[in-house]
Amino acid sequence: MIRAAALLAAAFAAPLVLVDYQLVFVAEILIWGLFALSFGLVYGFGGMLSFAQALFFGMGCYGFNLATYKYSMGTWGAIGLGITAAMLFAIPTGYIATRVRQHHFLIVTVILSVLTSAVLASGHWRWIAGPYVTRSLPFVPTVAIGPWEFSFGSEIFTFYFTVVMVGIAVWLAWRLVSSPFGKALVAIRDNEHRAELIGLNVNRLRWLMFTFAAGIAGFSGTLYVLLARYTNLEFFDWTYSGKAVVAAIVGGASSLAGPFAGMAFYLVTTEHLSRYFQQFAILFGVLLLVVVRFAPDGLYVTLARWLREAMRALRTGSRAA
Amino acid sequence: MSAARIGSLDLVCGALAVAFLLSAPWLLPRFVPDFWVSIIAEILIWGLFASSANLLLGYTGLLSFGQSLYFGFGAYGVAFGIMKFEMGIVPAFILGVVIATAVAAVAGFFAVRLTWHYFAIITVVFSLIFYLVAVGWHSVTGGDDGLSFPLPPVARFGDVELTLLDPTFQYYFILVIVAACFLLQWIILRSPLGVAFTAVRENATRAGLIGLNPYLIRLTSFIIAGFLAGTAGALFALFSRYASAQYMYWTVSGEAVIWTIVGGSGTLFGPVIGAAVLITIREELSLYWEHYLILVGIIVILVVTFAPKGIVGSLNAWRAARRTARVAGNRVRP
Amino acid sequence: MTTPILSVRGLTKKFGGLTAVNNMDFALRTGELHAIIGPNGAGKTTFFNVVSGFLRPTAGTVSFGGADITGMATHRISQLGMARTLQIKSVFSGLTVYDNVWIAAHAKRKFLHPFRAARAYSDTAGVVARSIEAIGLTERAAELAGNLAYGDVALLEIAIAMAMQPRLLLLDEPVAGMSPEETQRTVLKIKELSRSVNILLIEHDVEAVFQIADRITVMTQGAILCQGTAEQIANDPRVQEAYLGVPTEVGHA
Repeated sequence: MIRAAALLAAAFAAPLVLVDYQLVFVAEILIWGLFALSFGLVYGFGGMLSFAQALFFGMGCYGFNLATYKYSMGTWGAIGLGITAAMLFAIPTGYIATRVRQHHFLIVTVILSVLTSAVLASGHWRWIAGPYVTRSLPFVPTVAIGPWEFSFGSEIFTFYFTVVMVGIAVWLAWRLVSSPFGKALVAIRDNEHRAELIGLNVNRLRWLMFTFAAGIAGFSGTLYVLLARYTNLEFFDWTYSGKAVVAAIVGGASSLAGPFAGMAFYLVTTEHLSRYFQQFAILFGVLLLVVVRFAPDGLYVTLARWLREAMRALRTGSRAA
Repeated sequence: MSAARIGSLDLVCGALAVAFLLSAPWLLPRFVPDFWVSIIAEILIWGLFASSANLLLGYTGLLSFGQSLYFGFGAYGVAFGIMKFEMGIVPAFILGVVIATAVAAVAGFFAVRLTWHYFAIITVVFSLIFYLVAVGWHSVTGGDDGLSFPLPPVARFGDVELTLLDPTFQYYFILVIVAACFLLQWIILRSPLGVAFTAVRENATRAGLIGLNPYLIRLTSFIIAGFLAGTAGALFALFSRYASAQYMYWTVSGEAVIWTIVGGSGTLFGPVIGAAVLITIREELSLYWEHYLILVGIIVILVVTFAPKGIVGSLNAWRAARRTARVAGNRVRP
Repeated sequence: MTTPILSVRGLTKKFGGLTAVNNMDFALRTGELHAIIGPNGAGKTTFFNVVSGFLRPTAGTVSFGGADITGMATHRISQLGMARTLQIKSVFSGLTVYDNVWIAAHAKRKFLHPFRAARAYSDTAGVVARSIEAIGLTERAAELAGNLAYGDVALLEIAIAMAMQPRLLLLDEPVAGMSPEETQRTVLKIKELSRSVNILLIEHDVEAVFQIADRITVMTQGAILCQGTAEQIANDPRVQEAYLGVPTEVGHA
């Protein structure tokens, strides 16, 4: 709680120290971090290794575009539609995916990803979805909060908006995992058979978590459109799902902050090392291997734990002295 | 050992399949265009490649999305052998297989220790990394364009040259090697090592308690799978006179897993059947619809959801159920 | 004075702040059927887990047949001749009963031949047939272990352990969840087995233990409370207190 408050305070103070484009970069980190969190929820808490999160991110973008162009909705409506689109897409795909287990689940999510990408590449989607998937926003969106209207042309406002929105999403996720629903999922992840035997409807609970996580991914998609004002077909690609996977695992998939830490690390390093991309890719692969082998809870979580234990040792040590 | 008993149906099907494969270069062109012989050769190669994923997934319980890495090394080994070291075909082939197996040993050493989620992810990551390196290192690997090379003859008897440029000889060359690899798999799977694979797959803890070293057994399986994938890659290089980084890309590994699952993971010939079915569909459909992948994807999802044992696996289960029903029926009758 | 088949010195196992096994000394004499009893949380299964290599001790040593096995990996300890059943019965569900016992009988060989047909090993087949017959599962030999009834799974675990031809057999709650008749059958079988192999078992069913054990150790709170024959234990007021909290008369089994 203290950490959250401190982070929030830092976030609000940020525009005092950071310049425009840096603020935008931090906002991007938050958005992609939220995307990674959607994977963290489905995998770290739900126990489902899914390579399909990018699909829901993309659907969020699509929903937002659809609302803005076709239905001329305001920003809030567009965000709502984006999240809804993502969750609606998750319902049938989640139904298929959660009927199968383990290896097969992973394979199904991969195939769904590839399938969707194939449909998108073929251009057939146009007559289902209209030309709204990859539209760029030619105008600067505004959002109405209370009686005022703010424009996303201002980087500072965009930054604050993103911080608040991401904060709300994280808070929601936190409420979810601390709830009975969250506890049930952890039980299922631990011992599915036993969970069934105490009366938990495993398939339905998994499906619900899958859909919720998809909603979070879709939400991050809408935030991205507001920030960058463009959508690319490649957002649906499994490689983007892969980024969420790697970021969440490196940071710590079973924590709320881990995915953000992992994504921050990934984005900051890619930004600065883009010249050495190949070497960087190798480095990242080695890092993943090291993390998975020696700190499987994720770097952020493991470091946090070490710090806590070090502080405890210091305290008991000083007391004994 | 726990394999389905060989019934008369199996023998008949087996004999038919063997007869078909042996006579294809002469028989097929009477009914379908010539290039189908090459397609069958390709199916054999990809079936071998898929069987490497099958050995890991179906028998040892390891889901690997990275077999394309060893396929690629097998192909590049052959390419380098012929281009840079001016080897003959057989030495170059052996070089490709050896390199692929060695890389599998190194990768396996690190990867096999991990639980299955991380194992799957790491195999993709390895595959991706080498793909990126290969694509970037244009001078050595030809990048995405790959390396093309001429094929020296396999053997010379006086005036007669046996060369892989002759499609018939090439077909039999591939058939013999693929058949040998499947024979090898069959022998291994019915050996104590094969039983150990399945024991580790079923219950690694219990396996440790009876004295098996799960890590070593998984690593052995991984190396053998690398050998199979590398052999497939080397054959492919000889078949197409071409090696390219794009075959290292993880989607190629994904296809191996898909062919295995659709055909039947945990069965010896499932991977070949899966490859045959899906490649044939691909060849036929791509003529009419350029986005045939969509249909293939839907088929795979349906199979995974409703018939997870795959074609051969479901057939085996159905026959076993009929057999027990018949036996039970026999017992009931006085 | 022969070397004890299993000996443990100063064994301690801590989980963070919790001490599950506390500075324990224990020696199992060759040829005796020894049982460890004690209330829940006494540390019995943790003791087994450390001895069989699942856990590393925080302090102390374990030696098996005179050799130091402290911290050795489970599979190596198993190869040295220690077999174990688990509290939660665990077999190879996807393999047949026959194959379950087969791999247990064969695993001891350092080298698993990749080319000879498994069926060709007649010596292994002999051990397997005898083990399956000894536990009475010959009729179900071709069935998948995953389809067996719970009682049969427990028997299969014992067959697996016996097929390893071990020097020491650790049985973790072998009759847990069994009906009275099944319990009697299993208990007599264990007594029979103890003639050919050293057995150390953990059990909650005190009556069963009193029936067959040569010597009994009572554990509580991670340490040994007392050791002795069934009669000595039954009449020891400390034991009654540990189990029941109040000294009462305990009848003979």
